[in-house]
Amino acid sequence: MTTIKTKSGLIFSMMLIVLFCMSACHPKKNVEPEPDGKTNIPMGTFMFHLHTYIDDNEVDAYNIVYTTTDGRKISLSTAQLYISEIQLVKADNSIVDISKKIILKVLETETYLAGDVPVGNYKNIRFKVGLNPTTNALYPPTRSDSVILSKPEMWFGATSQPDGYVFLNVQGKIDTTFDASGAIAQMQPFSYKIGTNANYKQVIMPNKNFTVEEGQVAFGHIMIDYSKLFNGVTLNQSTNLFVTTTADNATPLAKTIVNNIPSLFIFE
Amino acid sequence: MRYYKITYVVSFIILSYSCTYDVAEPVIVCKTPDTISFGRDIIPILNAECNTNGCHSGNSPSGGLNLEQAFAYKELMKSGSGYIDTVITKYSVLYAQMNSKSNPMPPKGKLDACKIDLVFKWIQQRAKNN
Repeated sequence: MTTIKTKSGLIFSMMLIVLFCMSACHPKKNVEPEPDGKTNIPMGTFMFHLHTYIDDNEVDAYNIVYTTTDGRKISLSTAQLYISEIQLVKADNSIVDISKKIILKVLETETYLAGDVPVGNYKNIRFKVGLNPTTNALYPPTRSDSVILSKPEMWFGATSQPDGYVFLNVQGKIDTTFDASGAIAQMQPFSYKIGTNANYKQVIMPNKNFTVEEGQVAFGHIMIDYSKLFNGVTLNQSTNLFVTTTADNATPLAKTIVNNIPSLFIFE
Repeated sequence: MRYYKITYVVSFIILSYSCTYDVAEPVIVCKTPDTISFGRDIIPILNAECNTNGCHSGNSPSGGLNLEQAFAYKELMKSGSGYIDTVITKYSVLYAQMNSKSNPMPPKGKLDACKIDLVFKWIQQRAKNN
């Protein structure tokens, strides 16, 4: 009789323990798949804060003459470019794609929404300057986000086809003297319209850690220094001041300018 | 009797491992006024935390943003700059940087929650120059 009581008591005690332990368990937060099959991962927002610069000078408006540290005078009358294929690299090297987003960076606007991304620690930002070949072959009205593609100044022709879009359009005036000693009145006009699929250029920013928190916004603060476009360009040859057609985009001059594009982007 | 002792010892060990406790966030009560004044509430924060020497002041302010009292409002409200977004408050660069975990402004560390709350509510209230 005593043995039965002892065993019953033991079983009762064990059941109590099991119930108590189960009540102590917490479900893991936000890992249940949603009905559409997506995982309900906590998200934050990533945005760009993009400043337009000429060397050390932030460009406040068009047609203002800025002087570089080398003494060369430059003014801009147009400065805009497409950013696409945005990727964020997490600290564990996994990649978060925001590849559907296309940004048209213009002088007048500095903040741009990239998209919602999973919370966590990130270390790198990558993107391309230009539009992927599929988008580059489209007429603007065929896309829902055609507003930013419907910019005539970003077409090579009367419309975006058959030549495609201008990926980077930078125009203005520059001192073309060899020793950068020219006066403002001597500055020469330049026009660089970079495009074509061959010139779709990858930009990989240097590693810089940042954190995206749930429901919060993380900014990537980047300066775009257009003076760097001229690195390696012999300015006192007038033919080097214009890249305006798709044919021009196949020249060594265009290649030099395109290869300068990644150096334009500098963390603030 | 021996089974009971063993049971209780095992129970104690299991419970010790299974229990967790939540660290309660300290409850901060901010005495935020109903209407935020740029001059009374925001400028003192900028003066104390942002426009100190070498930062957002002088001829070459950090990030090209001068937050000295005489310039702050105009600079923050500069069209297209994004420092203030009265439509989606959290998109405001000013607020997002103050609230940033990895890259807070000021860089010495996040301001206390009440100061950040003041800035957030000032923007929510259309960021008036009052």
